[in-house]
Amino acid sequence: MTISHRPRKSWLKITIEAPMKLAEEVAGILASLSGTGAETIPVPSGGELVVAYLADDGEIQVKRALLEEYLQNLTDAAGQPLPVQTERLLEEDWGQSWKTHFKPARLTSRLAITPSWETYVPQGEEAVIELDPGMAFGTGLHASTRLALELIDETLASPRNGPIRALDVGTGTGILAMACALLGASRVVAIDNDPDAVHAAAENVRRNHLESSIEVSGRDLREVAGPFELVVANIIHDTLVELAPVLRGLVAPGGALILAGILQGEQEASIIATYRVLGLESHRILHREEWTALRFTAPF
Amino acid sequence: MAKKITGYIKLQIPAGKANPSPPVGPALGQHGVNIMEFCKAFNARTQNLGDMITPVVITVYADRSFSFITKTPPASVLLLKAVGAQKGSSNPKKDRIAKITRDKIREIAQHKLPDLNADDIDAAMRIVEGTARSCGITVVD
Repeated sequence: MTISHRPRKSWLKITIEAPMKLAEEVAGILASLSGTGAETIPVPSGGELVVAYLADDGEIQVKRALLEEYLQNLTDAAGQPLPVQTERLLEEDWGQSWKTHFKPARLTSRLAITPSWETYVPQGEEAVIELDPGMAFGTGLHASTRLALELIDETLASPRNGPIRALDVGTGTGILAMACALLGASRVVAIDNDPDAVHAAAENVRRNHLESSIEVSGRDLREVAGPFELVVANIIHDTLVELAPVLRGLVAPGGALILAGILQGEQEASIIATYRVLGLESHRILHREEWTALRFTAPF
Repeated sequence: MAKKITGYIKLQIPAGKANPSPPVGPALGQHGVNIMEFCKAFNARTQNLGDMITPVVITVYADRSFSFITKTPPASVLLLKAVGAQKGSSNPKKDRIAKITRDKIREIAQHKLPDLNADDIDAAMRIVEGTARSCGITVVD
């Protein structure tokens, strides 16, 4: 897959100093206007700084005009001017700042992960994924990813006839797809509806020299041709419920479906019930922190 | 032993849609907080709220671990959603953009009660009515 270089996005950072009683409302308005949210930071004088970022796209002039109109209105209401500062900000990889806390880690009995800036010597037959955290989910350190990896390892470790085709839905960094390929799947299809994730996953697959076995794309799940002996989806409860019939239809007879990103308790029960109706029984349930991962098996 | 708190981060972000772009990335990044982990947890916890702007307070501890609580959306966001408007009036004294019933005000006040500095529902309703007027929304019986 070729990776095109995308121009860096830029943002207009807007900082408004508001009295305490108005800060929440100012933040609410800025959050709605930016579409992405706002931050409030207390200042020693007793008020709050409200910070929001407008994406520098085709609508920025309209948004600025709306903001100025609203601020004028607020100034009238507050009886005092609200100081405003603007600053241009180039998009950067905000995942960077915590990279210093990211060290090589053993994820399952057969799999380890290391960031590219660390040197890691594999132990015995251990497979190693080299992965740098970026603007996509799945560094291997999140509990739900760990649980999904454990289930993938178990599933692929058991003896099986014939090649295993795997599908990773919502691949993020591509970590689960890469684990499938390294632990025994012959062919892996990885999809994500977030273009940033597709970009990150393709880059990670290339870095791990797995292009020949993993196909990464932004294709819609409904356009994927099955069946697969292993289907993996580490997303969130609502999406897993919504996609249930489609996911079910992609699991080959006797194949496995691994679901993660589910909170323990109510969400877990709801997922089990939803997939049972579709003829899948959960044969394995793992817990870690507040998260659950489940493995269902399709009848032959 | 209680964990040592090094700071608080206050954000208002769309429910279920947190990602490392601004404002989340820059705000959490400077505190060394695991941005992905926050986004995943926040999105899981708020996935039933549509894309409603949701205030969240993140507590950062000395080991860079964190916890967070979500609050009810600001009254103005709830009011504008209730009347189906995108923004408030630019001149609320002159231009009224919509009408809202007192029952609906009561509903919003009830929803906001845990986060409002109000003793009872009547006081909460007065606060919400004030916000409605400042957005150009007329309250009717």
